[in-house]
Amino acid sequence: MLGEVLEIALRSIIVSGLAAVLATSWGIPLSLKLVTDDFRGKKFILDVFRALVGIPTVVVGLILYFLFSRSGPFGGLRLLYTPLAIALGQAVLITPLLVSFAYQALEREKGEVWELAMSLGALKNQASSTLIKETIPKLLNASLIAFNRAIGELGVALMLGGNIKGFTRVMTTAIALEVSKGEFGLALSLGGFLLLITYSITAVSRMVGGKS
Amino acid sequence: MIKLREVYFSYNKEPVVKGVSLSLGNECIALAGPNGAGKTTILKLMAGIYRPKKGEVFIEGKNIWKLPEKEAITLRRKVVYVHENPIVLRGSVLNNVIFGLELRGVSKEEARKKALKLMRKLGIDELAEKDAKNLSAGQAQLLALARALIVEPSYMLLDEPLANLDWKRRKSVLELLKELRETGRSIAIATHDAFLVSLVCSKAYIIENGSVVSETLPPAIFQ
Amino acid sequence: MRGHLLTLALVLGLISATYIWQVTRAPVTLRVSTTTSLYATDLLEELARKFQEKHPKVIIEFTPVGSGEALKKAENGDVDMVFVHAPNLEKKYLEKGVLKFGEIFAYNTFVILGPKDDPAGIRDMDPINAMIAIYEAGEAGTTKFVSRGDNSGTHNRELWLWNLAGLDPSGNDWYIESGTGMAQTLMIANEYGAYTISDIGTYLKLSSELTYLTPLVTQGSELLNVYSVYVVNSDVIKGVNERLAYEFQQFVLSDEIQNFIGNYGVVEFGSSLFSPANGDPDGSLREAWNQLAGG
Repeated sequence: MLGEVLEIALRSIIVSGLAAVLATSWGIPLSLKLVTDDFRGKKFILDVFRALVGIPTVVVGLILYFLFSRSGPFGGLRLLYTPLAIALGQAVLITPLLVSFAYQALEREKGEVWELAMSLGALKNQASSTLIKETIPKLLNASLIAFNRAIGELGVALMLGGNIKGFTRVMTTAIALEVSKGEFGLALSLGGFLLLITYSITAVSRMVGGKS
Repeated sequence: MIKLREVYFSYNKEPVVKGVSLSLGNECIALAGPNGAGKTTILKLMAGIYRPKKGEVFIEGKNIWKLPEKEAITLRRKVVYVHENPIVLRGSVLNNVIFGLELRGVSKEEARKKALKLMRKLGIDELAEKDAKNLSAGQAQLLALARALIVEPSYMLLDEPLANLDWKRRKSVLELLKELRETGRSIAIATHDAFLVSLVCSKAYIIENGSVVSETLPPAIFQ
Repeated sequence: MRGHLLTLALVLGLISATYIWQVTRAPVTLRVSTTTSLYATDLLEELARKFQEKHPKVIIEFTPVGSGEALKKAENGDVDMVFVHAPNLEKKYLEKGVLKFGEIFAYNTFVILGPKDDPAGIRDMDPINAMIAIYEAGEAGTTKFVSRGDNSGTHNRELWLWNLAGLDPSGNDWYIESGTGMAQTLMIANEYGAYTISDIGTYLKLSSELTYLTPLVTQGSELLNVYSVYVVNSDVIKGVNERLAYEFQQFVLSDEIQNFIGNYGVVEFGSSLFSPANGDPDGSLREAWNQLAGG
């Protein structure tokens, strides 16, 4: 049983880790664009992202379900009920959270670092990369917080993954299943494990984000 | 020569610079006036950091906001602006000092050599390997000065350059500014400390509420 | 801004106050746990509405969960009565004394569904041979089977069928344990083009979505799906409302309601979702229940 718990925990970390990497890979450039460029509708985009921070997980799950299902527009990819579908869904779910945190961090540094780079004769690209470089701890922190949200969510994992044993079963769906079987013991130990993971991530993010 | 012509700027809605025209030739000029008058913003407009909402900024005769970035950069790189409260990057003091050279694609080895020489002159060479985030305010000010000097700018725009310094360091920075003037650098200093102005500068613009209210010789400030 | 917040707070306060008043005004609440497959058909809500017409002060709260959890909730004293369809589990809780007054109130059938091209060739086989054929096709790599894997009534029935066939599919690549409710398990089977077992009610409700699935085996006593209703024993489990639960149970067993159950779903699906037990006159349902409970 411990073996199964560990296997599920490992799968959760890999799937949600991939989600965090994906969200970071498009969320950070987007945040940078929002911070460094002035364009029409920028405020609107920011407001939309802020509003979507608390988007219910099942709503994301539902939308992607229709896109991924066999009769949906991306049905041909056969993504539904695979770990990749969960990772994509969670990446979409956590993007607003990540962008909000990253935007805030970058905006705060922009007044200083960006200006410093410009004052010393940087090209716009050089100023941007300096800005990113100086904000790395805070951006990493944003990714970790987003990872925590991903690993703790149930709606997307259940709707897009299907809780298939040995394939798409992650910690939250396993907990839900054990409860539905009336097996509270295993559910509790899984829940404890999940808390341990998110707590450690929080501690790490405190350490990297607290510096500088 | 850096020239502002009828420049307007605002951060939000309220304009903070309202139709300022001034020029910096081969001279030292002072921007004097109370806190919040718009001195810092004017320096940043001169350095090409901020884009004016209205009006033109010329560096050596070219309207820099009309040029493509690749051409504007060669002009902008002749100008350096130094913040009042020094901004330090992560890493060592040495890494901070060579930042401007890195932006210009100078090799790391050459940059380090040049930096150490300059830092020796400024008396901060023993700080080279120190974490820049742990410097005192005075040390950080000297770091910022070194970081600006190392790129050998034609125009130096200094924002309250003596504010964080003790008396001994003030004296040596003043000596340095005089020396820079003697080697033909153009300098603009924003300050509310009028005494400094009279020691180095030949001309003063009095700034109030985002506008130039008068243009005088420094001793006239005292009258 | 502050004014808006105040208004918002007032409105929210008013809404919650009204809600609390509504809830506390009713002197009695009947707490019922039920299997999802039964609840998903909305039959129970209909029955509750009819009961409340006669007893306006009663509020009935349903908790739709798998049969395993439904029974566990009874043992924990979280509910006053249960509607389930897992005789082997029911028997355990009867023996513990958690449940009493067990009554079969309705039945229908399980169906074995699969992809339309039926790679295992089970169409119209008897259930046991169908399971064997699916197993062999699975081993041959030509098909998959999706199991609920959640200790629900349907899952228990599936395991029982494998057991009767003398097979143990667990651990095989082609044997997918979904660990989700009936509706989602059907969706997964539809997505994968796999075989699965469902109660007829949930399948009929979803059939328009399940374009790649079709019922292949629907006949056979092994597929009989028996729904029972129990009252939680207040001598063993403290704090449960045994009297009200008994009243609702007798209501469900009454001729009027049994008749209603027999016609439920005819308009929407063309056939009724359930057959009423009507007191099980020839004892065949009880016999089937015993067989399932013992197996």
